Amino acid sequence: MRWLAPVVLLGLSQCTRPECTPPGYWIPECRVIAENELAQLKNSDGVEVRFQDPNTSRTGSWEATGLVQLADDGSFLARVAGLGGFRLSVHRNDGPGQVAISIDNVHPDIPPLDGEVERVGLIRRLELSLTESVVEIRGELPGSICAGAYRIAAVADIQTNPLQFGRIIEELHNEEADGVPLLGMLLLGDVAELGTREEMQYVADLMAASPVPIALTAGNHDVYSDRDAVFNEVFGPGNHAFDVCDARVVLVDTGSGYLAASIRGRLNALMKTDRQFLIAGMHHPPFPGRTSSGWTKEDQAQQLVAELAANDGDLLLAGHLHQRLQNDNTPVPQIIVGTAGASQFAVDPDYGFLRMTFEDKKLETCFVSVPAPGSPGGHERKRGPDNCPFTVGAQNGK
Amino acid sequence: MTRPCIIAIALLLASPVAKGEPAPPGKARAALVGAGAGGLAVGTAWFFVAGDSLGAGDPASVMMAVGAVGAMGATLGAVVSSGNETGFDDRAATAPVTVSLGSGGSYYIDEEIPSPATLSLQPRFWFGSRVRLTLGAAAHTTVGSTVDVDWRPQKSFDTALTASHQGLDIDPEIRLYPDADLPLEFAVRPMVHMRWDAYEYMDGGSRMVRRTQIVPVTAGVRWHLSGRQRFENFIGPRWDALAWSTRNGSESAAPLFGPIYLDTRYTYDIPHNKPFLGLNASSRLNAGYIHSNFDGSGFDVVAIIGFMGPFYLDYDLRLRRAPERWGVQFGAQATVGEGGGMAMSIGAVPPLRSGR
Repeated sequence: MRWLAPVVLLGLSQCTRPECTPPGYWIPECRVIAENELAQLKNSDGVEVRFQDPNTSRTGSWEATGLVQLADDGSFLARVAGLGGFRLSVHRNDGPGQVAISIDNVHPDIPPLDGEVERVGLIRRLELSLTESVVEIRGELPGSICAGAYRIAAVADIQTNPLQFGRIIEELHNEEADGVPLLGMLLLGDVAELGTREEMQYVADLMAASPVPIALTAGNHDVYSDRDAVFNEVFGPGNHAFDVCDARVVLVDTGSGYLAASIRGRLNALMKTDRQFLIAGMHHPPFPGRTSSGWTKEDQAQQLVAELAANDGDLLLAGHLHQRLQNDNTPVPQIIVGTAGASQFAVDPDYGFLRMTFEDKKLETCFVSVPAPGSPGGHERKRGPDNCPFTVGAQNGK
Repeated sequence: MTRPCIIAIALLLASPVAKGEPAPPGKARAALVGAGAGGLAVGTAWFFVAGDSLGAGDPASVMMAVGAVGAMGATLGAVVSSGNETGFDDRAATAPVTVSLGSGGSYYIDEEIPSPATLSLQPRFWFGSRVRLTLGAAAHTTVGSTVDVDWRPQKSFDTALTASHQGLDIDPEIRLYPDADLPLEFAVRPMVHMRWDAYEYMDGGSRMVRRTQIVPVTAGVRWHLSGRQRFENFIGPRWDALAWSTRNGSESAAPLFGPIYLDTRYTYDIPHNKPFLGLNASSRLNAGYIHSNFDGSGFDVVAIIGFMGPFYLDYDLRLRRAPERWGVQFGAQATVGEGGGMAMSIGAVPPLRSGR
């Protein structure tokens, strides 16, 4: 029977399995599966809510552009992942003709939605009549808001200091008050220190005070759990792209130090745009040298940079390093803004956020300091020009 | 400066190597174990205190790796030492011509990881008895393509990404043997490694990415702890250059200063007292670490601080009828780390040059 050995060995060598069986949410491909599964949900009555790509009218499938959950009372809770417009489809199936949905993370300037009965902060409550088998919910920023200048904020790395992040949220209200509309904030990972649900829920509670929606991607501290896709279950997808006025924003989940292969296969599709500006955000900075920290597969980091450069990217945003850095000698200008509250081992930590102002064909970036209480360097926030790292002229000419 | 660092440096300075005298192998190994353990301890502490910063994390990784390879290599060296540590001439050194084929395959349905194949040339030229030039070069390709599946549950599990990889390494080396009594060799090995990654995307688009790792001033020191055991380190600053295809041709960016490059290894020469397949035999074991994940393999340290490259284990078996005849050298290589694998190689070995 010795002749059987090679046959058995050959058979064993052919034992392949689907990705993520068994699940291990430390692996980025597993989180891709989770974020897509969590973008649709069917309740016990059979009614199904699906997030969709707002640039299409398809309803046959769904896209990971948000998170759908059920509240204790059985109503739907949907969190929009991106900034700007969004689209959901509600599939009646064999369910009742009425459904309650709360949609969170919606910009206040988006006009009332069909069936909207209440607005609380960034949450819209809808009592939707399912008059057809599929009913769409579409939210869009008014064209007037994009006609002039507008802003988007960005920051990363909260970790052990969510209260400081709370101060940044508070500062966003001042951004709102100075006349140029703020369309949202990008939070580029390391929301938590240990990656627990409790930590992330606390940050989600802080985010409820934000005047504008917040789009997130995961950092290495957010993906420690192998058993649960905690980040995706609390905030939704870490890989998503969205259009805000004339800017395309692509967020990719580098929490594990590398990208899911299916995301690498979609980089071109995610970044291809006819918008004026293309911004990419991720947790780990992909450029070599001092700032390539954390990437475990540098060929992937360089593929991402090449793809962004080939699609005429204007700016690459990252965190991970607990400081602000700019590097415009790179193929695409890079700004690191890991200043949301994580320890900087400094007496006078440099906390705050990046303000991106989009106007005509110009993108201006400034750092808005939000010092900790009693910080001796609190005066820095008034320095002005020093806090504006550089201005990026639109490179793509689209 | 921390206490382990002081101890490590003191041990190194106290070692006979610092005096330029051949040390008894036992003492040399003890010195290396002490210095290596100190380097590992300091590097590890530095690594984790550094926080999320490659600026500090990169040299810390280098110190950890040199310390670990040195300490573990010397410890194993003491264990396997037979008492007779006299060197021998026909040891299994790097063959001038080698062909290797690596392992491929994937754990996941419908996905493929191709086998890497490499042709290496390492012809050596002596200038007197103290200077040696090696014109090192290697061409890399893959047998097949990498295929990844789109696992999104609402899609139809089509191919997400197809990629093929080609590469070229230029590694000339000048090695100096300063003194017959000094157990050290010094080398300079400027290196340029290029990779061409061709991607075919899910939406039908494609992209060619050319990555270049430039390490122009790599300096190396080889310490002969005994006639059969050596500890070698190559280190140098690295630059990375990137180019990519566009609709109208290609674009490139200026080289950017990259992380530190390091190749650290401990080598054991193993004489074979009995013929193997009727031929004279000798073998060599290399255990080392490369601080670069240029080819996408390395140790995953939960994506925190800097990065760790791959550890490797190479075994070579040299066979030939007599030192004045051509021989053959078989090799097995294991790259340990995420994205690593196994490879087998075969090389041709010229007649032994007298005196070396």
